[in-house]
Amino acid sequence: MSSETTLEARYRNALRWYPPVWRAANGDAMLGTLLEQAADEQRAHPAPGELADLRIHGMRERARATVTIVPVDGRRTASAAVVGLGAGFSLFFLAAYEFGPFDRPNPAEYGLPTFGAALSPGAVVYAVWLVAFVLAAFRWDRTARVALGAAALASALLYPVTVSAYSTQVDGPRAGETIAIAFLPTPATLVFLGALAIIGTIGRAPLESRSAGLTAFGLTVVALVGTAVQNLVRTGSGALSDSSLWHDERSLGVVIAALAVVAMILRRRAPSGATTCGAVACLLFAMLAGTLLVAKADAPGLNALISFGGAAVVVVIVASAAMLAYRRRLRAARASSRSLDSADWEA
Amino acid sequence: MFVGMTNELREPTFFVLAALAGGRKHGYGIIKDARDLSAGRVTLNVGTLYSALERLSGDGLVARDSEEVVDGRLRRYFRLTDDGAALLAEEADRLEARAASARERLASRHQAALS
Repeated sequence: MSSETTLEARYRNALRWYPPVWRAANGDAMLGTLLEQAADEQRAHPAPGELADLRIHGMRERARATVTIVPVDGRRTASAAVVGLGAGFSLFFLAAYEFGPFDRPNPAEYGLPTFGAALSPGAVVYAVWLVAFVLAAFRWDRTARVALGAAALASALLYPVTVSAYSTQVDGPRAGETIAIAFLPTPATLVFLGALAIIGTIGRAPLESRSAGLTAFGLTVVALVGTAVQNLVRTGSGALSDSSLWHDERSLGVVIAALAVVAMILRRRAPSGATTCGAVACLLFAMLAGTLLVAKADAPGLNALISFGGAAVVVVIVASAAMLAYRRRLRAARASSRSLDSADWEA
Repeated sequence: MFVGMTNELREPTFFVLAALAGGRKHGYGIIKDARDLSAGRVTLNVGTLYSALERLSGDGLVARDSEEVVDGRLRRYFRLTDDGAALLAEEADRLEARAASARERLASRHQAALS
């Protein structure tokens, strides 16, 4: 085997770190560049760091390929809708519950301090979300992504930090921890906001489609205010905790249905508005299904059916759409690129 | 776009665009030109170069031009688009303005030292 053949084989091996779609589109051109540079520098071996650079970029492209299965327009709209949804959710519960004037629970009755003027340290998660939203709206994209990462981290750390801070406040085994946790946002809220924050950081600009983000933000606030008013009429209490929201599957069902109807109406006249409504409805549906799955899966009957069925439908739809999009992209990349040795580039 | 919070281009991106400002070039041509333009300071690896080109193409700043096979190796040529040229000009103006303010400060410092 000649030295060039050996060198080419080593480069081809390193290029296997790239996803098949990338190799079909760029593999031959990259290999040509690598071999041309090696010939010009009279090398029979890869330059120091060259293979590592290919592996690192290959892995990054693989990660990117996973994200970019969704077409770019859909990604922009979905990312903006997710950020708007999280910010609307955070604003509502920060204003109406953490700082709310209504009959919210009082930690002092249990010998625990409040978190300044706020009810609990959960206010930090909501506040960081709002900061991220404002930064994204002003197109400080990189800082907004950092703030979204901080929101995800705050969601993950809220329980352990609160437990360690409050564990000695009340006498008795673990009593302080139990009471302190009772005032925090529920795990469903933290998982939900954490997941939204992570999805929001995936794109380069969290609010690239500003109209979609603002629409999602407005719709979320209006939907939550509507739910609070309904709660006030039904129970006479103005306070709507996030916990009661997650357990009110009927209200969430009405919101999802309303969003689906609005999406149908806007389908032809304002496609981006329809996509936003559809994306928010899907997220809420996934959220509702997930929450019911966690909270009520042990209860036989309709709730268990909704939870398992809902989760299964979401998974099947997302997986099918991803598979179809991926296959289409692979076909398009292969068709548009000339291949010197196509069989060798198969995964 | 390969920009940060302040819409500033990263250095490798700047040199890729600057290399293509002189006319269409293939991968290794861009690597050599970027090295020359930066006086040997910036050496682009092939993985880095193609990731940058892919993103710049996605942003409409660079476009694929043509392909040819030389010595059995594929050469793909790239060219700068009008948007890419405008962004490069903007960045060059920014760097120039920055250098001018630095020179101004240095001159006043020198003046102060003399008096």
